[in-house]
Order: sequence, then structure tokens, then C-alpha cells
Amino acid sequence: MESLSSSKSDQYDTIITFCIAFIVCCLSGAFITGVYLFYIRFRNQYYAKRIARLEERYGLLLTGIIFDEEDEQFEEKRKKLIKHFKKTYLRSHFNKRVLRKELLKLYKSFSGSSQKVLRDLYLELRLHKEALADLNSTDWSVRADAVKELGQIQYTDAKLKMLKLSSHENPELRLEAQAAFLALEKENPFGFLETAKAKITEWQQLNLEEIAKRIESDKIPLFASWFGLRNQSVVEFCVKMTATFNQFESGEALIQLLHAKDIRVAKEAVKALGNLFVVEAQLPLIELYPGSSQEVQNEIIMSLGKLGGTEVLQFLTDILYTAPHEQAMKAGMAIRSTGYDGDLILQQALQSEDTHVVAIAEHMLDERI
Amino acid sequence: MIEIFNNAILLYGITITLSYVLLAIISARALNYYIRKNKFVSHEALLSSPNAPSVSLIAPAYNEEKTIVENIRSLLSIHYNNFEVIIVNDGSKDNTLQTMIEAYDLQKVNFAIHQELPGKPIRGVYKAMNPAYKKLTVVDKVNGGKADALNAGINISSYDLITCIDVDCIIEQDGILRMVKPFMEENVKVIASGGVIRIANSCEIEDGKLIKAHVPKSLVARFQVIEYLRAFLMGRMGWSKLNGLLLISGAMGMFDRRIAIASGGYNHNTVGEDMELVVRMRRYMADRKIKYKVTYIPDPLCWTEAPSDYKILSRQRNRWMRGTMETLWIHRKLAFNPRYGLLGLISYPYWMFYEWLAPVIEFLGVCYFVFLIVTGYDNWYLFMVLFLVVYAFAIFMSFLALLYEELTYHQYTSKRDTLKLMLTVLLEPIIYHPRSTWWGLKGNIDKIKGKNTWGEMTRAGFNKVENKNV
Repeated sequence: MESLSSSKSDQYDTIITFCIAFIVCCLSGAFITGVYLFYIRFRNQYYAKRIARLEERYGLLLTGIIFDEEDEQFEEKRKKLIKHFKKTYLRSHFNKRVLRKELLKLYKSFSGSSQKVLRDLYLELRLHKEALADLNSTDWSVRADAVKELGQIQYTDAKLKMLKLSSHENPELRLEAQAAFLALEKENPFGFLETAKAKITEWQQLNLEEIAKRIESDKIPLFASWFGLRNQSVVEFCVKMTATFNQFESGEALIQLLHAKDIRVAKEAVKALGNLFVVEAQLPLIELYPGSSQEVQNEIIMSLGKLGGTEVLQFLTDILYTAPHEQAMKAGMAIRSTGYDGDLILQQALQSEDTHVVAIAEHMLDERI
Repeated sequence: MIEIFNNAILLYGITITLSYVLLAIISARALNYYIRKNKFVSHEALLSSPNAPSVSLIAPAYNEEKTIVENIRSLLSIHYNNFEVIIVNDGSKDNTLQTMIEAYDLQKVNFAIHQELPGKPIRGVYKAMNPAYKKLTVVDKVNGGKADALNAGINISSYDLITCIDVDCIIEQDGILRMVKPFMEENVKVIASGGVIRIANSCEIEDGKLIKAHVPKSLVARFQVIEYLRAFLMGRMGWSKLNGLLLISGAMGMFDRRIAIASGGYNHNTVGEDMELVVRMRRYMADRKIKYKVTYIPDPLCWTEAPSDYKILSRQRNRWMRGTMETLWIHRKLAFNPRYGLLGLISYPYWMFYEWLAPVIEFLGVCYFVFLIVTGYDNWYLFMVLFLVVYAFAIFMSFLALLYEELTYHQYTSKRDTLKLMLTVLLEPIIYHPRSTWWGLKGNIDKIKGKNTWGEMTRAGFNKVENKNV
């Protein structure tokens, strides 16, 4: 009996000891967290002030040299500036980092010869060495930062490194490397597509497309040449690019893709055929319709609307009268987009006994929607 | 018997503590990765892209005549290329519809309505005649509640992604693009994406845009700031990483339209329609063995006004509890069901034990303590130690949430605001938590009694005074 009571007392003591230890840990944790929070706040404020001061100085020095570009003593001033930078600012890693950022910021806001002045300074101050060293970092975000920097400053010597990194396992680093490669490689900017093994997600495609729009038009390749690649996300991207850059000559290749196993590729091919007005696609699209998924069917209807033609109008009218609401609405829209003939069909639909068809026709003919 | 009860309470305490710690660790890792990966995204270039996915913003409105014009203007000013704004006037008793008609030059159009999701009759669809507002569609319908209004909006919407929002929310300018991103970057199908809701009380707001965030002046609202930071940055972020998120806030959530319709849309018979829809969509995918994800964006995308008095807050919390109970009951088949994987084995039981039953168990603990006093067991020392355990852990977790906020979004830049929040953290377990527990318990009692209404929500308005009956 006594031993039972002593065991309970021991248990009680253990619980109390544990609880007190827990309380002490939590309260200390809360206190340390609070102190750390303010430490971070002050540290960030301190660095923000230092950065602002440095940026101001760098900004003045760099813009000064840009505006002296026409000066007879420009070369002399430039050399003096480089010496000044090396002596005063480039001894600390922190200062270098701020300089890299400031130089890039200015580089993006200027163009032409001013950009060249800044780029030459960047190279002569050997800042690219810093960026190249960062490419070997174990932290992917440091590498991605360096990739972005080298791409923006047009450091073409790094393009092979970019090509290698464009297949990196980290999607963010991969995208940055692909974007940098687009900026650096002048002859075959989309060359990374040939070696891309990982999936290019829709998000990455959207980003690459926006970058691609800034590339000189004569450097844009014929994307259809990559339609046979095994990586289906690359094919999907190439189909989108075919339409974006109006590569009308790829019509036949796009028709071939209508039967692609990957539904996304097929869907994009359907969309591209409509956007490129490939009239030869009318029949293949009509034939494809019955066995396709609803998503692809919707795209087929919309593309057919862009292509027009008697057979197409008949097909779309059938859909309007017989298909479920979503497709019937799309068919109504497609018929409307064909112009005068389409309007006549919709006018006739107003006389239909099917109220659903009448509602769609009224909707389509209402100019206010 | 008492021994068993003691051990059960102890086990409950230990598991809930561990789950909080574990979620905090997972959230920290997920937040860190999210912040690092998103610093490379240049949203500006993509906001105007014609190839970004199209999004329908759906906002129900009920008796909003005083603020609706401003609210719509704020929604229309969002930066994104492909979107439409659908305002559903849910049979307002005031002049909400007429105000919109006059302000935006609306005309009733011949819209072909297909009620894929059932609901109360639609009286008309209106489009703006001014081309500047061509993205705006107004639906006028018979009153049927928020779920019904959202379903009407979904029926009218024409895009693949739908975003359901509260009409009086302030959405960040690039909010849609940020929410769309997970739908485009994941390797599995994303069916829904939620955003962080932040509290806008006392913040500087101009032309429907947030200029500067401040900590609310009202203590009640400040308690909710702490609560939201904990829930969003430490809880949901972790659940999202585990792909076990069950709730996307009704104030702002983006959904795959097809899946939302296929799974039946919003449920009219629950006051927790936001949670119920997410659970149902997850169940729909799991039943069909389709791989999917529900994601979550930790960026502060949506700012809303929190109740600033206890009476209104108690109604809101009462409703949330009833909504949780209803959802858990409707989907009881999920409980401990290995067929649903993480959803059935972890997410559902977690909500059952630590969200629904937490106030009940806490209340039982208090009753037990009273029982012990009555029966002569007055070990105040043990009581104080146990109280301090809970208090210390609570403030530690809240301080961590403040640290997460500081390290990530740093919305409250003034030191005074941070100090205010710290002080609030110290008060919260004593002043706010007991009330919150009581409201949860009351929600349980009201549900058992059969209460099924939303309750009146009165909001002060960001700038003006408004009354809102939902």
C-alpha cells in the first residue's frame, strides 16, 4: 500500500517537474522569439539604411559616368572611377553585392551606348566573377540570382552554363536559366528545348512566352521542327509559340498533332489551327470532334468558328441544336463569329421550338453582351 | 474512472501540442521555400498576358447599397488581363440593384442561363453599357443565401477558374495572378487554391486599395489579428504542404469550375458552405482516384474587416462552429477511412478532435476542475502549474506566428504596432480564449437545438458605416 502511494507521489513529482521544465522552455522560447524579432527588425533597418546610402553613392557615380560619355576625357574619368570603386567600395562582399544590384538596376533603365558603358564597368570591376562564383553555390536561390544577373547583363560567355542549368531539377532555377539562355544565345535562343527533360509547366511556358516576345523576330525559329520531341510539355510550348509567332507554314504539322496522345498537345494544336486560320483543318477538326474530351471539343468548336465555311456552319448548327448547354453555347458563339451567314443561322434559331436554342440565339444576337 | 479521464485529457493535451509544433515546423519550411521561389517571379510582365488563364470573380451582395459602387470599382481595378466580375444581388431588400444600375449604366440582357447548379430563380442578368465596365456582369436573383448566390454566379460564369469572394474585401492588385499560379505550376491537378485573409481594421485604405497596414485599435480585432496569423501562417500553410487542407476561407478562394460543378457546387443546407465545398471537391477527386491538390498562398491577398465587438464576433464564431459540425456530419464517411488516405486518416480526425471537440473538451476540463473543488480536492499548486503550461505554450506559439510574419511579409512596420501585438499575445489566452471557447461550445449547443441561420453581421465599414445582413 505504502509503495503504491510512494509510486503515485513519484509520478506526481515527475509530472510537476516536466510541466515546470515545459513552462520554462515555452516562456524562454517566447522571450527569445520576441527579442529575435526585434533584432531582425533592427538588423534589417540597419542594412536597409546602409544599402540606401550605398545605392545613392553608386547611383551618383554611375549616372555621372554615363552622362560624361560624350566628354573628351571620358576614358580618363572612367579609369579613375574604376580605381575609385576598387579602392573604396569593392573590399567588402556586402558593398560588392549592392553595387551589382545597383548596376543592374541602372542597366535595365538605360539603353544603347549607356548600357554598354555600364556593362563594360561591370566586367572591368570583375563583378561577373562574383556572379560566376555564385553559380557554384549549394543554395539554388543564390544560383538563380546569379543566373538572372548574368542573363540581364548579357554575359554571353555563360550561355553554356545556362544551357546546363536549364535542365536543373529545381524548377525556379531551371526557368531562370532558360530565360537567361533566351537572352544570351543569339543564334539558337530556343536551343534548350532540344535537351529539356523536365516538364515545362504552364507557368514556365507563360514566362518563357513573355520573354520570347522580346526576341528579335529573325531569331525566332520554326517551332514545328520540335513537334516530334518526346517531352510533351516542350511540344505543347512549341505549338503555342507557333501560334504566337504566326508561323502559318506549320499548318500541316499542326494537323498531324490533332491525334497526339497528350490531351494538352491536342488541345493546343486545335487552338493554334483556329488562330492561324488553317482552312485545311476544317475537316480533320470535324472528324476529331466525336471522340474528344469536352475540353478539346470546346476548343474545336471555337477554332471552327474562326475557320468558317459552309460545312463548318452546318456542323456548328447541329451542335447548337443537339449538344449539351456548354457546347451549344460555344457553338452559338462560334456561329456568331463567322459573320453574316452565322447571324442568319442564329436568326433562324430564334424561330425554333426548342426554348433552349432560342435562349442561346437571343444571347448571341444581343449586342450588349 | 477518474484515472481514465485524467489520462485521456493528458493524451489529448499532448497530441494537440505536438500537432501544433509539427504544423509550425512544416509551415516554416513551406513558407521559406515559397518566399524564396516567388522572389524570382516578375508579376508585372505576366499581369497583362493574354495567355494567362481566364478567371471569373464571383461576389454575392445583400443589402450593400451604401458601399457596392466602391466595392465594384475596387474589384474592376484589379490588375489582370482575362477576368470578369460577377456580382450576384441576392434579393437585397434595399436599393443595391438600382444603385448598381445607375452607377454602371447597366441594362438587362438576354443571357442564356443554364442552371447547372440548382438555386433560386434568377430575375435577370445585367451588363454595363459603358465599355469601361465591360468586365462587369450583375445577376439579380431571389434571395437564397450566400451559397445559393455563389452557385448562381458559377452558373453564369464563363471561365475555367472561379474566384469566390466577399464583395467588401480588398483584393491586392496582383492577387488573381498569384492565385492562378498554383493552377499552372503543379504537376498534379489543382482543384482549389486559398489565400491569406488579413484584417483591415484601422488600416489606411484609399480608393478601395490598401495603402498601409496598421494593427487595429480595437482589442477585439487585435486578438483576431493574432488568431489569423497563427491560423494562416502556421496552420494552413502546413496543411497545404501536406495536401490536407480542408478549409479555404469564404472571403477568397479560387476553384476549378468544372470540378466545383461536378461535385455539386455550394451546399445550401449548411452555414459552413466554404469548408463543405472543399471537402466535397476533395472527396469527388478521391472517389474517382484522380490525383489532385488543394493549394494555399501565404501572400496577404485579401483584406477584410473583422468584427470589432464581442457580440458580433460571437455570432460569427458560433456560425463557424455549426458549419464545421455540419461539414463533418455530411462527410462522416471520411472519418478514419483509409480509402481517403490523408484526408480520411489525418485531416478529418484532426478537425473532429481539435476544431470541433476542442471547446467541448476544454469545457469538460473546467467542469472537472469545479467537481474537484466541490469534492474537496483543492490542489491549487497543480492547477496553477497546468494553467501555466497552457498559457506558456499559447504565448510561445503566438510569438512564433509574429516572428513568421516579420520574416515573411512584414506588414506591420511600426515598432509600436509590433509591441501592441506582443502585448495582445500576453492577454489573449486570458481574455479572448475563454470567450472563444464559450462561443464554440454555444455553437455546439445551438446546432444540437437545430439553429440553422447565419445571424446578423454588422460591419462598421472601412470608411463608412454599413449594415450587412447575410
